[in-house]
Amino acid sequence: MTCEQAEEALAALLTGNQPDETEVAALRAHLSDCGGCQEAADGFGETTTRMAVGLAPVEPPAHMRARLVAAVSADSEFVSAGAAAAPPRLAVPIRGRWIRRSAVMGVFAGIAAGIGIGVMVARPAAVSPAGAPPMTIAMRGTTADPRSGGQLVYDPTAHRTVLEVTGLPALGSSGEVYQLWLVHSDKTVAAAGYLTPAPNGTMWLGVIDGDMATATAVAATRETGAGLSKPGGAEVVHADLQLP
Amino acid sequence: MIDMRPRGVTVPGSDERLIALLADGAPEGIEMLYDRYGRLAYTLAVRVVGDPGVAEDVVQEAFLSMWKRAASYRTDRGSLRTWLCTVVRNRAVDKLRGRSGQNRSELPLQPTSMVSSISETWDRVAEELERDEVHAALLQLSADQRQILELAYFGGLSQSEISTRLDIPLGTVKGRTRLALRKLHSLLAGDGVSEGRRDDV
Repeated sequence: MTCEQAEEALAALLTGNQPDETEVAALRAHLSDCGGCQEAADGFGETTTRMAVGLAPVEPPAHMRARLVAAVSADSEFVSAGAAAAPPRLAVPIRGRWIRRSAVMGVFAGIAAGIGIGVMVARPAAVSPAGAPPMTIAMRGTTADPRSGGQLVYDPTAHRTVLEVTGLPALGSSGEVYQLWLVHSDKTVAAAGYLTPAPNGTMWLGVIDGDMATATAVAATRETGAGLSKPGGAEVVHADLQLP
Repeated sequence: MIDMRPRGVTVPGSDERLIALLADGAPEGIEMLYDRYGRLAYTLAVRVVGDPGVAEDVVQEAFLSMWKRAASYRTDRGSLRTWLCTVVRNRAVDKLRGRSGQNRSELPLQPTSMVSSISETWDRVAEELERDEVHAALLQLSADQRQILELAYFGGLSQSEISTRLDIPLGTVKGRTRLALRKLHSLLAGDGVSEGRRDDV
């Protein structure tokens, strides 16, 4: 293969063409012996990238980041070092709620270690301590919106909660929002962001950053406008994080 | 001569930390990756597939793929940004072919007039500077060269398909692609263009 042929093959490859095995083998052999073409290979790759940089930027929709974070959190391979040995996530019912087995085991392990006993009675989804695996907690609809429901995934290591809610009706165009709230053990309520619509049109996503150790519930309300410090609209979805 | 060398957007040191976070499976790695390159990825995906909803799926799949494969990433195979663009572009072309075969958009590379007028951060300013440089370099290619890069990289057409579309020999497509890429590379690297005599391929 000559240098010109190698450059042609590189250019084809970097613009999305798939050369056949023979051509790839010849290109590899050439690159291993030709510093100039190796340099061209590196440079051409960066050049095609810069063609993309030359495009007028298009702002991604605001919910895209939350959607990605939610997907990462929900992914079965999402295990931090401390959670690497967690058992597979299997749904098991506990007092009417469905939470994943890894979460149950994490909660049990954490509580057992904390109070020094090995026999536990099933409890609802108490928030797991830092270092425990991510836990999934079901969210349920309310009388105002009984068809809604979903789940939240709390990562106690990253102190991040990702919510996925389905069944919520579309909002009006007059600035309505689905506002998230955290209810703490001292009965205070704090605004915790908003649910944003996923592109599939059926799911709403939210992300709450912060330690949930003192939180007893997460809720969403339908509000006529953003920026409220206290809930005023109807509660549409709810999750208890631990027993009172 | 205008200095065409890249400035600003990619900061190797911080990319190294980002790669380390991704390789460790740290959730903040994917967030940092998105914050740094999400807009570029979405822009590229929209340009290839021409549909914002499909582009969103492309970016989502590309980022998840990178997050899962980050441990095998090798810095000597190119920058993180190049890896990202390769993954996004390939997934976008896959979507395009799966969805509608050859029904591809053929919009030209957009001029900078669509760029937002006020940059809020230096990153945005640096991006705009680099975009200007890239745009200026693209304008120095011949119309034939720009067209062939456009069809190949953004249109997702193979060289055989380009040959058919433009009704020119496959050998001409190959040669023109090579020269276009070489010239663009030279312009962006600030080396000048030494192969002008061959531009008429």
